[in-house]
Amino acid sequence: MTHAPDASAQRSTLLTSEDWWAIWLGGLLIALTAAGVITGVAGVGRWTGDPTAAFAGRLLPIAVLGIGFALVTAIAAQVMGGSFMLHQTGFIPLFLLAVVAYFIANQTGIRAAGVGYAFWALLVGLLISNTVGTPDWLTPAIRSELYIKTGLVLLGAEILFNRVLSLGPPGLFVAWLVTPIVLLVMYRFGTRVLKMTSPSLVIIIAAATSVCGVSAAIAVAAATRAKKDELTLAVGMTLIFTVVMMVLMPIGIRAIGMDPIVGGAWIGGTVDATGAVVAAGAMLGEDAGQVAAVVKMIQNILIGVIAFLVAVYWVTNVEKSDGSSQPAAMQIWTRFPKFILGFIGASLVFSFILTPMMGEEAVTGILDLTSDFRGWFFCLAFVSIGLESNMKELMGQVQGGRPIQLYLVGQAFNLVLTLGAAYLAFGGILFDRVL
Amino acid sequence: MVGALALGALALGLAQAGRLPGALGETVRGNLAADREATALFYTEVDGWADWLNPASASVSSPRSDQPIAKWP
Repeated sequence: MTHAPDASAQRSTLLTSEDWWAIWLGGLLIALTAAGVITGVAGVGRWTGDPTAAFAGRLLPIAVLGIGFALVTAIAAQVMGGSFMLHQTGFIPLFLLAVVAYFIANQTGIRAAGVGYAFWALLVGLLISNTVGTPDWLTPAIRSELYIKTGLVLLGAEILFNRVLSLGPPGLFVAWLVTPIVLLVMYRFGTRVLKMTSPSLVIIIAAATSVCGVSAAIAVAAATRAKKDELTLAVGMTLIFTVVMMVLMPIGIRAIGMDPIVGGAWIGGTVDATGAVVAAGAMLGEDAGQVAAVVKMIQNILIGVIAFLVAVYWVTNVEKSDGSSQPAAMQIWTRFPKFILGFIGASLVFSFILTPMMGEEAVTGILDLTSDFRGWFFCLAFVSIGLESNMKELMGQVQGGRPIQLYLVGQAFNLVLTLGAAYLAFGGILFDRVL
Repeated sequence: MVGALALGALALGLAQAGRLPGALGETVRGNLAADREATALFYTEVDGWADWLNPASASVSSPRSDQPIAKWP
């Protein structure tokens, strides 16, 4: 899925691969933000009835951001063997489509319903590609892998290992014990029982279900070099079921009179998306909402470890080529998705260097900016994926409903296992009660 | 054109979800009233996420006052 043409094949992959460029771009943005050069990231505002409120005082900053993104990604495209000018020409309309996705997602009612920019970005892209068709002049700017991987390097900075350890054993017990079990069981169920033909689709759905929805799906899809249609399908399913669970779980918990703290931990461990966890947990009360949010935060941290382990498993098992003349270690290095190094590296730098050096408050301020950059890159990625996706091929991924079966069976298993763990950890059985 | 209209209709319908009776409407109204980040993909997208790191110090009251309250270890 690389865009590097033959002419650049002899050049160093440090300059020609999207994996490395993701590290350079993500690293540059992190460095500029940490150094205080970048002090704000433009974004579309929230609005209710007046659409112009979304852009009040923001048009110029958004334009500057778009031009800045266009320049740095065009430089990357040029060095990777593409055309600076052709990329520029396509990027501005692509960025405008991302603005449209954010604009729709930031309507207060839509935002409250839990339907975020990822959904709208995919939908806008799919709508264009499957109706009028994706214009040729847009194609040079459609670099979904570059945008996803750059977003993931930025996401790495948000994975703060040092802080999560201070959150306490009950949350760690629920989030870190259940998550790997559900991931492994779902992977085996999908590949062995349902006999799904694409292991990457199975692991993406498993990661989205067991870890934290869309962000985990993106990370694992990039780690396994999955097809874009597979990511689209997994993200679509996750987004729909997340809204359903956000609404139904608090109702069910209240209906059976479950301890709200246990219920909060259950929600935190099972509802896929963080925003939906916060919303569903809050329906049970302030304490339950906080427990739900913290359990999900601990689960969020697992993304880095899981993406790394999945990438290693993929290159050593799933994509293993016995006929290669390269030594085993070299084969692994050649196929290993290098952006993972940036992803893990950013996490380690923020956890163990910047936080002790700059203090938690300063790091929180930096992460507020890098997470905004990450949001834009993910949004650009989803618009690009939509523009590259074909509904016929997407329907081909459905494979007689097996992905949905996998999701439903896996989520049911996740619900049962997490409920047991939540009772043990937050019901005063294994640990002192919290809150 | 039809696709754009469908997209607009879907967006318009979801924007009105808070008016629905039942569970979905109740959830959306709750999120609207509290201005919650119901669409966050990752914890850092939620306003005030850093406060989660010190839950014991947050000024919260237990919904089950008969239960002993322990600090986070």
